Amino acid sequence: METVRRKHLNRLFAGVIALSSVCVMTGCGPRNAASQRPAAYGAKIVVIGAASGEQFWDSVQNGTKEAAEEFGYEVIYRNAKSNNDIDGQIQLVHEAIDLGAKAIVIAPNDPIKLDEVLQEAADKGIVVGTIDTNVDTENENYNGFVTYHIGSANASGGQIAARQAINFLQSATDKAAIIGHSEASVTAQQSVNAFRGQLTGLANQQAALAAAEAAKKAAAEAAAKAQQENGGEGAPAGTNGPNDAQQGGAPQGGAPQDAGQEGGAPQGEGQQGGAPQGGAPQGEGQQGGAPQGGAQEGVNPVLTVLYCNDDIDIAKAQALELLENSNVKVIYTTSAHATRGVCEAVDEMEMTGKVAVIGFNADDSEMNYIKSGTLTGTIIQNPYNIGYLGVFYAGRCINNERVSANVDTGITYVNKNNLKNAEIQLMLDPSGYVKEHWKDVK
Amino acid sequence: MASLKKKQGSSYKGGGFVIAAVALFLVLTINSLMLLITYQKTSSIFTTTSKEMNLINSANGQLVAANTEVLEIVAGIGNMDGHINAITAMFEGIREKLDNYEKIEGHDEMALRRFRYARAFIEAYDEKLLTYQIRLNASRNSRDEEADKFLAQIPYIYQEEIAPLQLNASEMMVASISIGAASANKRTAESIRFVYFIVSILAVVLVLGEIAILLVARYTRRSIDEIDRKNAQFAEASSKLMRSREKMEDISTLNILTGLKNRYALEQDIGSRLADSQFNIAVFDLDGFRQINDMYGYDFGDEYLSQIAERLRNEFGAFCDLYNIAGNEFCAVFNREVSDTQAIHYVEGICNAMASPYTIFNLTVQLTVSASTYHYVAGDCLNLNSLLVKMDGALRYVKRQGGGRIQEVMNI
Repeated sequence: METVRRKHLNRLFAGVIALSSVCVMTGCGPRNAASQRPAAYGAKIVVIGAASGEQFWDSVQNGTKEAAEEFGYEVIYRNAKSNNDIDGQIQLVHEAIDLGAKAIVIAPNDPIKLDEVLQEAADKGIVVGTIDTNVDTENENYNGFVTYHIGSANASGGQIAARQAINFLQSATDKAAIIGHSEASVTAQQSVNAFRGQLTGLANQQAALAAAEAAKKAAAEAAAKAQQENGGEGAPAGTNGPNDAQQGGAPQGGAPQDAGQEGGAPQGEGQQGGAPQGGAPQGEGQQGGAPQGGAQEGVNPVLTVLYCNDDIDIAKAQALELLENSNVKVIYTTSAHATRGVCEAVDEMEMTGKVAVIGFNADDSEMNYIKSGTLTGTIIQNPYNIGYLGVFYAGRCINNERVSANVDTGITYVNKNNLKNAEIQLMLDPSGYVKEHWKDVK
Repeated sequence: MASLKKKQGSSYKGGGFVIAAVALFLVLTINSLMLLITYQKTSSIFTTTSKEMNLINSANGQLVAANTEVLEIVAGIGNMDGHINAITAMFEGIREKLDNYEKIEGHDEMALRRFRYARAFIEAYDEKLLTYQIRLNASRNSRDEEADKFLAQIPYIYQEEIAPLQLNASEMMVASISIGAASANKRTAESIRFVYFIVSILAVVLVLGEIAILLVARYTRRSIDEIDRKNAQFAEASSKLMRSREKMEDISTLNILTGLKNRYALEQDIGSRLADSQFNIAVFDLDGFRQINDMYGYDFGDEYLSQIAERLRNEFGAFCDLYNIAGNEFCAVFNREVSDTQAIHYVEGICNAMASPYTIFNLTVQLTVSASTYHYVAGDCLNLNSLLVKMDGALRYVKRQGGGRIQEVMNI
């Protein structure tokens, strides 16, 4: 009896030790290693680009892909058919909601028409971020469903282009023309208005300086003549003329008054044009500004603003018409397709070097035109980083981290002289640049 | 024997638990070693990660500070030389930290990739600032029209050429920090998962081992029990066999009818004594016994012999060994203590006892007895047969003389 009891006790003891060791070995430490992963790990993030078949959006997609790899997100990338494809984007947002996306990152092709569907997504707890273009956040019906915006300030692009363009307008008769990719496009409008406003301001400032110089010269001549007539007695009256001229000779009228498509203070961009006010540029706010108050007339350097519906052939036809029938010295375009059409027209007219073409965005075609000299320069964004940061910020929002509401990924001007510079290569193709410099980067 | 087997069996059962305990000890020891290795590995990960994070966070902090200095230059705030010196020092610090980060081994592939993006933008940013720093110094010193123009252009230069690099450098740095942190968590989680994996395997091995040991112990115990049972059966069978053998031996040396030892027993008893011993031996035969058998049947004759044997055993068993060497022929081998004279006396007593009347099945019978005695001297006979031949010869002589008397065998 004693032996049997001891035997049972031994078994019980061995069993308890075995179970205890199993419990100790499997039960210690954090309950679940996966619990250390952020909430966004493996989250489905749908990115909706503005248009298919453009290198810009291919680079955006590349950025989203690398962000997905690095952070462990599931990124589904879709493009609308074209920059005008609003219905397609609405459909893609619906699909993203149905797919159970945790975040939708979109480049809206319309500032208002996607509000309803994006609001629906936001109401379902989906993070909504915008890239490249944004919805109209000033719209009275907008209630803040966009958590963040990643992109370049298109207005800054227009301003930078204008500062380059002014160098090619030698006289008041030299004109600039704008060929925008879409009248309905917010980016096009922002870019066009900024270009026009900035160029007008600069042209007026240039005209004022020229007028002041002329007045100064005239006053000097008048003084010399008076001195000759007076036998060199005393200082002529009105020697302060040049100063007066310099102060008052500048066109005082600010924006030209010939309303319509041309001239006028650009609407929606705030006060633009004119000389820089010092300090950092103020983006969409008060930028330069036409000379304040004063005379009623000013220089209007912008001959016309045309829209090509982002069609190469239309842009080309419009450019041919301008080159044949006007004194256009600068053509500014707001998209890669528009730029390509204009460059084809310049080549066809054999006007390379006689007319400056300033484009927006860059694909291989634009780079080749820069190398050949047809394209004077182009405004470039950083599409890779727009895509990368678009997904990175989406993940941060899913993880309930605080993010900046608006991130400007920067914009710069590239021409034949700086094309091979590191900073330009980094903006054009950061992925290619890094992989070229560090062979261990995949 | 049975007790020894039982002892061996119980010792083996205890051995199973000893093996289990040893296995448990080994598993726990291995487990402890694994935990130690994992602790060291995790500690190394933490050290590396913390070093990485410190360097990159510190570099990022200096980058942010440098950005502020750049913005103050653009805005024309503060002392220009101070800003320039601060920016120079900060970028030296950033470069050093980035170099040190690169020297750390075992970076996560993704974190390193993003770091490289950040570094590319930082280097381009640094280079661009250096370019404009030189022009800025030159412009501040000359203050001519060209210099003024450059100074007026600073905000645009910042917007077009510096801000994009500055912003992307900062964003890539933040992304790199996030990936580094995520990578640290991932590596730690992998390390913990590895521990779980190993420990789970050990746990499974332990449990299975314990179960196997218990099963083997149980099986062994059953086998031992079975062997014990078989041994008991064998012992019982063996005992029975021994008893049967003894019985067979008894049967082979006893006359079943009279219960006295038979001729085979006689040979066993004195065969070996013939060469070197002397003793007194006598052979007795009932005269005319065949007629009793023929007249009253064998059962009667058998009962007659049985009663004679019983009486002889009772009356003379103490002085001699009695044998029933043939049907009605008896033999007495006297003890060493019995002298020759006493032997003659006992022979006469045996004859008288045999020749007394016996009542068999209510019928009284009485036969005379012929006897031969032999004072055997060592070496007289080669074997029992020759001895009995001598004695039977003497007996036949008495029979021929009419029986009922004793004839002594003479020594040669």
